[in-house]
Amino acid sequence: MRKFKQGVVLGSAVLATVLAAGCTGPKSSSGSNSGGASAGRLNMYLYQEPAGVFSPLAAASGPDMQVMSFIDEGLLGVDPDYKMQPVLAQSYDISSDAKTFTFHLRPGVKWSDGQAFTSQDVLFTYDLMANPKSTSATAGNFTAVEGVTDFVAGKADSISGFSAPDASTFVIKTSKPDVGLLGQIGAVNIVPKHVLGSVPVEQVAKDPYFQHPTVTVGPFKFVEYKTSQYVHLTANPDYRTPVKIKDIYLKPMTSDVATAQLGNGGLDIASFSPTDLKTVQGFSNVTTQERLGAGFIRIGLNQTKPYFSDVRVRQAFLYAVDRQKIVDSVLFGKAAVRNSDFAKADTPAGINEYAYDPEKAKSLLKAAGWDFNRTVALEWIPGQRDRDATTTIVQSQLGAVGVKVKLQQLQASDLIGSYKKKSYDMVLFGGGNYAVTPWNVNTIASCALAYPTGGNLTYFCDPKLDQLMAAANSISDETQREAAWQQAALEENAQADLMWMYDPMGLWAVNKKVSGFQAPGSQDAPYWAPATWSISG
Amino acid sequence: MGSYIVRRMLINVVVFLLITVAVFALVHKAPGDPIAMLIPPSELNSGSAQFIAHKRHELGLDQSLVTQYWHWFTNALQGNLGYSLINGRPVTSLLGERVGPTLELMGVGLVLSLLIAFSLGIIAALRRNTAVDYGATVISLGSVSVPVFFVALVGIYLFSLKFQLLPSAGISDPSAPGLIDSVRHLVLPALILGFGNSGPYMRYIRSSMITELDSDYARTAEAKGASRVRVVIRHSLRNSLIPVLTIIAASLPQLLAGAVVIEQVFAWPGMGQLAISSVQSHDYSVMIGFALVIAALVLLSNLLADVLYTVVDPRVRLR
Repeated sequence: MRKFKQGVVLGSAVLATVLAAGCTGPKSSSGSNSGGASAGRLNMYLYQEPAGVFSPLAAASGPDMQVMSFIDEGLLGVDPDYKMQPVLAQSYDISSDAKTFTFHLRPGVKWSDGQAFTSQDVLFTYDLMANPKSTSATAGNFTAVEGVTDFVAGKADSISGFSAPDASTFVIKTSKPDVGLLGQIGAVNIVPKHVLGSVPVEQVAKDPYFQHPTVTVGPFKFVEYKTSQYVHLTANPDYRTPVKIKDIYLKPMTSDVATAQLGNGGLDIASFSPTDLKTVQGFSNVTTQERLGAGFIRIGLNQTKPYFSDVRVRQAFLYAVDRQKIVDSVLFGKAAVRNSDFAKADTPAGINEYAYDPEKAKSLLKAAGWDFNRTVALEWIPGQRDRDATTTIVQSQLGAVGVKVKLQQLQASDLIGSYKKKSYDMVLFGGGNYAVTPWNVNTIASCALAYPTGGNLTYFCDPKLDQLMAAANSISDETQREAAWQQAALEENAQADLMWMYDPMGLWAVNKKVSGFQAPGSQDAPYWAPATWSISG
Repeated sequence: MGSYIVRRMLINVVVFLLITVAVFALVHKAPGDPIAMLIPPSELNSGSAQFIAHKRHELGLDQSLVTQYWHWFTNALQGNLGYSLINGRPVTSLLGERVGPTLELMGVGLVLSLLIAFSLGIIAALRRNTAVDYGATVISLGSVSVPVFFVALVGIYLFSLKFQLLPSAGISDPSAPGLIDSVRHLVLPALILGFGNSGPYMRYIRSSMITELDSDYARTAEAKGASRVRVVIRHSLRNSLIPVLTIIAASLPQLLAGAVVIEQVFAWPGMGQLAISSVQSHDYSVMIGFALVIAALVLLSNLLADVLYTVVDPRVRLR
């Protein structure tokens, strides 16, 4: 009895202590930044838990790449406006035949263990990335490099297209003109040869280094990944420019909690969804930033089905849907209507905007002989509010022009099955990056890259577009190349290879103590120039 | 009782083995291909097929299910539950580093739920059919019927955002670790987990207490001059514990289920969070490892419930 009483008293005391302890309020997250030394602590949101493999060889994983954007660097980098900028390379030249790319490395760069960074590190990294034996997830991106095909087939001991003529020069040669290749492989994070060079190529990807990458070249050094809690990074004192923030903690959590943490100062930078816009704008301690994404939400029409192979049907579908209204009502205006696979910067002024015109849609459908008794299925992976709402609106607006649409929710795996069987009618999905290089459009639009060889999931095929794309990709002069891309964009826009919906904006909330942060275009995109960010007390 | 426990353990081992077969088959036959999902379909290129085939071979996913199971089983007997398909780390160490936080959350959550349930249950039984009793009933009904994630979000809104008293996520503040910091992070998730589980306990305690308070021995004790407190605590509460203890033991798996949700909402680095992320990424080995931990917990808590019953009530004999 006495023991029981004591237990109750003790329990109550613990509870009281716990509650009392809770009344001390959250701690301030930062210090002050005076003078040139790194100072302060920045807490950032990770929209997903990292896999914990910080490796350029691994399959793309948003949160891991975000961590890598603090600690690693590539020859080139992609700035928030999707322009390629020299990073570890000080400059680069493209030969007039668009087949040779010469990178002049920045002098005096050191790894975080003090070793000099040289072109041998670059050569080592590119050899690894192009070699399927290293389980490099993006080895396919390197097939355009001269000698890769022979090397992979075992006919050559090394890749002739990669060379390091001296310690500060790295050269890539391609088998045919391919300027777009830079956008695909120019920003690969470089790994240290002196750490990984002796590991057999088949074992490199599994090397513990990638879970604990302590020797890096970027503005921050890796300290630890406390599983599921945070990734801790600290300023690299030997970085080529002063790093203003001392410590960065990247914390995975749900978006609701992240929004709450923005309000109470627990997080300094976080992305948020358009539905939380009003809440976030109500916080007095944060400002918001927005930027258009590099990919877009689209509805693919399966063109192996005869009724979608007629361009008039695809155009009619675009005219039938009020995409601006979807942007305004579903995304609260935080997206842009898309009218091409190509990013806005690469599309000419005169492209067809397919503005909402149900009458025109009806007449195009009639002209194409559309069977108004036919029902087509629209498949998508449910769970994202904007996509769920979009499918319903598309169903009702296509219904208004006489096209019967059945909505069908699928799991990701089932969707892959329906691609394999070519069984789907319409599928809504998003993603991709077509802003860094227009050449990436080739992956989703070229005849040769129909699924599963490539990412052309709709089996669209327009030899004229392929020709225009290849021609643009072989021009070394930037102005002429841009004009050629615009020609390709015009053709693609007229052919309506996809039902482009919208390009969502990345929305970011930033504590007013933080300066220098430039929002990326989506919650999963890498960060740019973190050395220049600062946080005040 | 010793032979009873040994017999039950042996039966549990057989059941556990059958569970491993079922879990392995279900997880592998569930829709979804973790390797195909590594590259989004719209970003495939001419080298992707080779990467996928290579990866599948490396992980043994191109072998028959029986071969895969046998391989997994023989390794599991040696304490190796395989490796995560996503980051290559051993499943045992992934689970190992998550067990502590989950037990901490569950343990404190259980203590808090008992504190809530016993206080409300005893008061409701003593003040039967009064406003206090009805109030306690409403609270217990609320705890059962309002989803725990909703209570958690309300809790975060009030205590983290509105009044800024407690942190809303994580297990500790990496820059200021310490006991007070850990306690502050634990309060909200544990309290909400405890509240969510207290409803059924409270109802059992209330009805069990009413039965005992109305029994002849309680009246006799009171007639012989024992104080009200003595009758309630010493006589009635002790006897009313018999059914309650078994219910608590049997409901441990439910507590873990609640912890899974709480961990997700509060970014608590426990097993529940690991389970959810592994399901999302189709990380077979981690999913199987987690399912087996749950299976073991259910089997053990059932056994514990039976054994506890004999301990608190010597009239019950197990055979």
